[in-house]
Amino acid sequence: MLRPLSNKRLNLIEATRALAKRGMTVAAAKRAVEAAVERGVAVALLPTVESVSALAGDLRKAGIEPRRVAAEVPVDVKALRTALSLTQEEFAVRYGLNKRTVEKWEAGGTINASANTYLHAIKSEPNAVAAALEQEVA
Amino acid sequence: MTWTDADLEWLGVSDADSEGDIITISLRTPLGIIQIMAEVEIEGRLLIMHGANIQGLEPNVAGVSNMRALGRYVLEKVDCDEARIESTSRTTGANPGRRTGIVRLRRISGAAPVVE
Repeated sequence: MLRPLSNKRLNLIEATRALAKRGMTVAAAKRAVEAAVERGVAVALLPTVESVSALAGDLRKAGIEPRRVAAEVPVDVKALRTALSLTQEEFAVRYGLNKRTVEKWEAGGTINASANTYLHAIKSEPNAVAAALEQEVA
Repeated sequence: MTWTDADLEWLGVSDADSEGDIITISLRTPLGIIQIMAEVEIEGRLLIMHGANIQGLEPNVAGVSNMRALGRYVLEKVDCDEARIESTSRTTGANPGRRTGIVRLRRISGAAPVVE
């Protein structure tokens, strides 16, 4: 994700170059930077990142703050659950999951991409996600 | 004092920042080296620049007349008579993120740009 830095002048050409250097076409890179300027945030898919820190340095120098979408990074379910001080059953009920699925995840079972994205949302905003699932009891 | 052709120098196309219709050129001006990146189309004698962006100038320093001189110089170099410049969103100055209007520029000296 690309966001313009508020405290730095944006250099569109330098930012475009930084993205194109990592495998985007120049046109796609330019459009991504323009979208970040216009909308405040844009998505860039970079096929060849040799070093995340070098990329971040190049983009920051050009006035863009890069953020990696961490959906592919697996969530440690047990660590997440214990940080929220919930039992497996409570965690499952609170977030609309199956208790056996939670058990399997904690035992090292595969977490599919959608579930992993959901777990990231829980990790980032546990109360908001829980509140979104709650319904008033009549 | 408005820039003349003698104040400007065409430094060429930057290959690393150009691909397909996206062209990036470098120019030396009295205020330093600038780069212009745009998606370029040529229709007869008309140069069309989509998403044009200039880097290397401090905001509001060059002035409109120098920008016109710069535009005419580029037209001379690419051998076109008229330019239609659709700039990219502002990255500096007033209202960053806002797209500015379309500017039409003629090579004939003294012709005023038309802002659509």
